[in-house]
Amino acid sequence: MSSRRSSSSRASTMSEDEIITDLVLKLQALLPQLNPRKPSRAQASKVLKETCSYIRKLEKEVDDLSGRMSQLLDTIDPNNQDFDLDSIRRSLLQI
Amino acid sequence: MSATTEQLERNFTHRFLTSLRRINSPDSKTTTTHAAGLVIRRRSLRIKRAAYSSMARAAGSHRAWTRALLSRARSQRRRQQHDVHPNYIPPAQRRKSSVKRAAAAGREMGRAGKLRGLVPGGSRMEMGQLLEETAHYVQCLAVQVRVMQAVADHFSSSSSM
Repeated sequence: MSSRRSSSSRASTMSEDEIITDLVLKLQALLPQLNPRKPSRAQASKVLKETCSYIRKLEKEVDDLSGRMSQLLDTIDPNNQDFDLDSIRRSLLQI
Repeated sequence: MSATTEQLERNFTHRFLTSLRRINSPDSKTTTTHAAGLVIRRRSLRIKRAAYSSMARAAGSHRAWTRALLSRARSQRRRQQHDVHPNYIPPAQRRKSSVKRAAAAGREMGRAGKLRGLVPGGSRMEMGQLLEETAHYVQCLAVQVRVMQAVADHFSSSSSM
């Protein structure tokens, strides 16, 4: 990691790299499924990139699921039968 | 799953199903003059928007991304009501937001530029906030996908009965 400069206020002597790496570590900790290896500058960039891919993947899934749901809605009864919260919650617990 | 994630999931599921019921209600079904494919595509868009709005509301307004998302949805709805294209930004607004975005992005663009474009409100955040909001946004998206999957599976199994 780049060396700290003078002994003046901590925030002003931390390089941007250090700030980013510190914060990316935080992100990594919150998203353990991404890249649990030792922190470094290269790792920080990788985490940012993987996060972007992951977000895009999830958003695409939302798109696909919306399309699928739209097609399925044609086939079901608009009355509350099929919007039963409990049975959906039960299916959720199985995933 | 943590207690808060469970609560989020329940809250989102409830809101989302309420929206679906409204989208699927008989009076909202379009007339038969529209081709079936168009109806399905339009409804798919409504479902998608309902999913994001339901999640933003379930997640709560103390998050910057939820506020940004809901505010974007509001202005899209307003523009649609006036027959304006949802992605249209009036000239005055366009100028202000692009200056803000450029200034913020100019500081950190190199490493987090793409991320700023993906997280709602990301272009206005400084780095620390961006990463926190990102983590929360991703967690909520994952819940959203999981619930939508369960709902779709449920519909598909009830229709095959």
